[in-house]
Amino acid sequence: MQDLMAILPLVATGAGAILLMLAAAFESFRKEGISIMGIGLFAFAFFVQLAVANSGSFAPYSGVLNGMLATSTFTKVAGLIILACGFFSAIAAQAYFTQNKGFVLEFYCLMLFAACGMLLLTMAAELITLFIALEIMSLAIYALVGYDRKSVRRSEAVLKYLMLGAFAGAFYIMGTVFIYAGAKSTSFRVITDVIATTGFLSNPPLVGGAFLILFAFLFKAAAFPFHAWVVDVYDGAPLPVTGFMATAVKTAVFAVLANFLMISSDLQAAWVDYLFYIAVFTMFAGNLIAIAQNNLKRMLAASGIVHSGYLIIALVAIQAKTFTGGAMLFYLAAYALATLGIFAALSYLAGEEERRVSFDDFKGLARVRPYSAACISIFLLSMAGIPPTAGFMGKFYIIASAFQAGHVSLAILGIVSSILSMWYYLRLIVLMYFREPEDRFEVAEMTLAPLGTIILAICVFAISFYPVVL
Amino acid sequence: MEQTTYLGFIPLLPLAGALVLGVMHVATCQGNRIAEKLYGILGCIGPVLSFILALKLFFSLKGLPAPDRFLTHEPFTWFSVGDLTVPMGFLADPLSSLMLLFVTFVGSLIHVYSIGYMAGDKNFGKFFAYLNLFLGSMLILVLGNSPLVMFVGWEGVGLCSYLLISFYSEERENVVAGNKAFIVNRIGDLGFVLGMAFLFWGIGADGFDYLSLKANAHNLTPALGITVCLLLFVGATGKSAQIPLYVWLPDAMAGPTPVSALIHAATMVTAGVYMVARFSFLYIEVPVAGTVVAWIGILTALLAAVFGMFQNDIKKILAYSTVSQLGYMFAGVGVAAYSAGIFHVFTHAFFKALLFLGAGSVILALHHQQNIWKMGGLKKKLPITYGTVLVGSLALAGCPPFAGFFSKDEILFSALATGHTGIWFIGVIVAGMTAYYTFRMFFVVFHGTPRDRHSYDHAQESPRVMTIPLIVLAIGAGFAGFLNFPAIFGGHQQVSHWLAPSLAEHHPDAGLGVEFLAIGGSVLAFVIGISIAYRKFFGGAEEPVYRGFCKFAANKFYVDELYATIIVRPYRFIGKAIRQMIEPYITDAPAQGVPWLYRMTGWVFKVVQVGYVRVYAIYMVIGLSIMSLLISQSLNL
Amino acid sequence: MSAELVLSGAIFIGLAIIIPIVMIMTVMLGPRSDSAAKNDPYESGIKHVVGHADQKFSVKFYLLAILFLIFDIEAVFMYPWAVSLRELGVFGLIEMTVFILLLLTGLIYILKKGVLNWR
Repeated sequence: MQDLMAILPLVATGAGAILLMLAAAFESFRKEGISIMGIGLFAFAFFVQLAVANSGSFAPYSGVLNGMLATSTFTKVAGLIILACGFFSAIAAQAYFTQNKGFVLEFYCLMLFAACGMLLLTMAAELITLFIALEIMSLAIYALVGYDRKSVRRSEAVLKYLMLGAFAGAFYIMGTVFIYAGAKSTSFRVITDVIATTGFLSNPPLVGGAFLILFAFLFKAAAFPFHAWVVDVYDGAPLPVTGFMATAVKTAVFAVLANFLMISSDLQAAWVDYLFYIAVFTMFAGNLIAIAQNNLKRMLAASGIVHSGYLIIALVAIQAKTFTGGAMLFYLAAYALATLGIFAALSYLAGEEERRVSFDDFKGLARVRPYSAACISIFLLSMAGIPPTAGFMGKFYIIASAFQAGHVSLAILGIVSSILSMWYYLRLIVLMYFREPEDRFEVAEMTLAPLGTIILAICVFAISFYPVVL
Repeated sequence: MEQTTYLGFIPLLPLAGALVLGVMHVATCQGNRIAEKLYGILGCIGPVLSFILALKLFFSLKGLPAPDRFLTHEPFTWFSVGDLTVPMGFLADPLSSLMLLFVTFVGSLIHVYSIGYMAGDKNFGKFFAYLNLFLGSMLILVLGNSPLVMFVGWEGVGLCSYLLISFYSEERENVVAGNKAFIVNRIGDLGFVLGMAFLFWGIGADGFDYLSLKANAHNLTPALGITVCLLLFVGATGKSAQIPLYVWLPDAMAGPTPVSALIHAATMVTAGVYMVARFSFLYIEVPVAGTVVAWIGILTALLAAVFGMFQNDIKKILAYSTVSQLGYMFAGVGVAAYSAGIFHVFTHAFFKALLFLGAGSVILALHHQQNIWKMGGLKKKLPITYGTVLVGSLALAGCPPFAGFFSKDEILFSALATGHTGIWFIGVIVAGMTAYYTFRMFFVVFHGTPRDRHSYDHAQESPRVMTIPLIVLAIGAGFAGFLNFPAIFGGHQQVSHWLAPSLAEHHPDAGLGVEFLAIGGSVLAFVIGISIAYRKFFGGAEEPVYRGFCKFAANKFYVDELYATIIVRPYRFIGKAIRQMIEPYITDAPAQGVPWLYRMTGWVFKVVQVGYVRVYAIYMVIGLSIMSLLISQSLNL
Repeated sequence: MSAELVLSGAIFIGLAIIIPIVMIMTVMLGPRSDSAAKNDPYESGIKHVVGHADQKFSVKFYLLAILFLIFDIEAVFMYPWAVSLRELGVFGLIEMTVFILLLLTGLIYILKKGVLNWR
């Protein structure tokens, strides 16, 4: 029974997805109804997760369902973040589709399926389960990106994502095979025991397998040098989907990365040096790509790479024995709030058929829509890490944890990167506030998305007052 | 120690009021207006409820035995850095409860009064939102359980004073006055922050709240002690308008009159005195710092009294009188008579709020005329204002048995008893000057013949919503002094006893003779001052032309101009010089170069981002190859 | 030479003889009717096996193939389950019921979407 309790959010999300799927099949449900159902189901799943997270305390990584899954406070909070991301993305999608054509009734169903896969991903404690979760998530996301077959940009994006994703997925499977060869099992617990007895670096199949698996996840996390797809795919996807990908997928992937590295401190120690360089290159590559962009979506995509770099710093700094993931989860939450906020705002500001997406389109927004501009500014400042926003606290915790783990140079490079990132964040603020408007920014009447944006903006401040224990 | 949640609500209620009012105002400022009555009621609810809670707090403290009279409440952890964990904590002890009582009481009355005074203003809602915020910040300042929490309120009142002083922002000079207040306060804040930093460095390791600091105060080295005390006092001179940072307060008259009342009586300026009293455990350890505080205080009192005697603006006179009275308070806390200083804060709150609100009533009756030489004979037209202002003036001038007499006398007595004869002597002279300028203003405004017929004829008494607070305050100004009735007259000095657990204070032992000398001196000074004023102004007098020293004093010794010459102008010159001579070559050139380089590198990366899947796949493979090459090196077989 | 080897060799040889005989027999014994459609080499709807390899044909074939795969694998999945049903007990039964019901909803979705209507 306790096992069932642990996977209750998973069941709720999956059941919700199936419900929506059936609802989409019966024509009596229309766009509005489906939208409300989608948003409501995300909210419901969120509260289920909240209830589960509050009830009882599982010891760190207690196994569920014969060790196929494992839950801990870390996975639960990651699940909460994922479902919150889904909720706000659904709100953004509702606004988006009042102004854009090409809605399919299965949209929210796919989002829920993706969320289901992500929840499973955070909890997976066994390589095959992990792969299934990864595929559930990825397939749903592919479909979300490319459901609009008539649009060339969508098709291009999904093709790129699918091909490179399949490429990475193949490496994952290869890695699983190697690990099975090295440890005679796919269960994390057994792998831990094997490493403890034989050592990690003296077991080449294990090393190779872990290497390939990490590679697959680093691809999903958009780490250098596997980052190149991000900009094109994020740009091609519909705005709410981009937001969802940038936040929820990232949360899930980093949760699973942390889980995987936590298998053994030997495994993590073998990787620290490489992750160090990957973190640095990821941050700087992201920054350098971002400054050259004129398209807001592409800039945000590139800035997502930078944030991945920060999260990799957190990965470098975690300690297998005392891992609570507080810093990482806080950063993910802070980043998710700001990103979702911007995408929610863009979803209604972009207008019909995503008309306004470049920097210049938002000139003088503050004159015409002061509240939206203020909210966007808050989100940008949070991303740039300006106190007292959540983004600042997130960066602070991550950099502090890097200091604690003795990676002083990494911490300093993180700070430098954060300074570089001001360039493109502040650029938009300058355009919004210090230029004359050329556009009247007329958008369709709606209530949910602006409300969601404001709630997120408040949250950006609110959660910065909740300190986490490192 | 018990947890008491309602402590948190005392500052929260006005702050919540500020939020609600602010949102209402912002939401409606363009279109349909909300009735002023609604704003007024909403604005007053917070302060009044806070006052009720403060009363409850007072009585629950009273129910405890004297040494245990403190309640704490820590709603949440504010932040934690390294070993330092700072809770958002509140501490209620006799000192803060007394402050709370009169701050909320006087604050509430000023809120009520403002409904009448601000009637018809187009930013009515904004005004009340700011007032609530002001009061809320002050309550945080008073209730905070550590210097850091106090600093939140400290900055809050600084911000609100800026907002309210430049409230009539259509006119440039009001905005300039607001800026001046803010900047001068910031200079003081620097001292406060530095003091706090040194304090933390010295003894902050075992907790940074007052109770822990008090327990560790003896560990502070003397040098550090003096540094901390003086730096904190710099902060106090900024907030409480002492030499050399008093210049903002007279200019702060640019704000609406209820704001002046709030700044002078209930909030802002008392913060400095409160802070020194709060840190009495530090000041008692370093008497030198106390002496400095006392001397600066009494010199400020003297200087401001001299200025006050030659002002023509009714609000400026009151402003200088505040500076002067604050000087007394610092003299009091400087000679380690903390309870006397706080008691003067307490009585001063009543009579100064009363005087300002009375002056506001006069100003409103005369359609925003502030020059006393355009008034006169208003006694008949404004009977209630006349009566209440008379009480306030007597209290300010130190006429026994009004409130100001007892508190001022207590300070002067303490100065004498601790051997600071010089301070006592100046204090007595200032008392005489106070009586003189107070009644100069009073006689010119209310007695004699009307100097401006037109406005005199149109003058009428203020509405009841304004006069009732005046009457209530007049009662306070009349009788508050008896709360600390000196032992020499058979009193019990309740206030001093009440405050005793919070303050590190030695009560000086002095003979009856000293006490009578102090009282005699004060009364004599009062009588002399008021007689001169009576002779010169009672029958009506015309605006004098100041010459020589008087002109010098009327222009405030040209201190503003002096500051402008020796600080502001060189500062501006250096800034300009750096901008024109150094910046373009030394800093701008590299600063322009770095972004250029940055942008160019960005372009390179943009070019690499070709958009072909096959190329991306090649990147991945290259990365993978390099990584696998590296990892294969680290294998140990 | 063990007995199994002899036996299996015999089976293979037997098959090699029987299968051609059966094929020849069907040609000889079965009724024949010639028509254009009948003579067309038919393979899963691809009408012209001769010609260009990149000709277009309906995407519905792929859909059908994918759907077939799903339900086919469902059936395959049941074999190991059936073998160990006794050990799994009631819990196993419930799990398989859930699994089949999930697939059933998928089938309902397919039906309502009209994927199986060959228009």
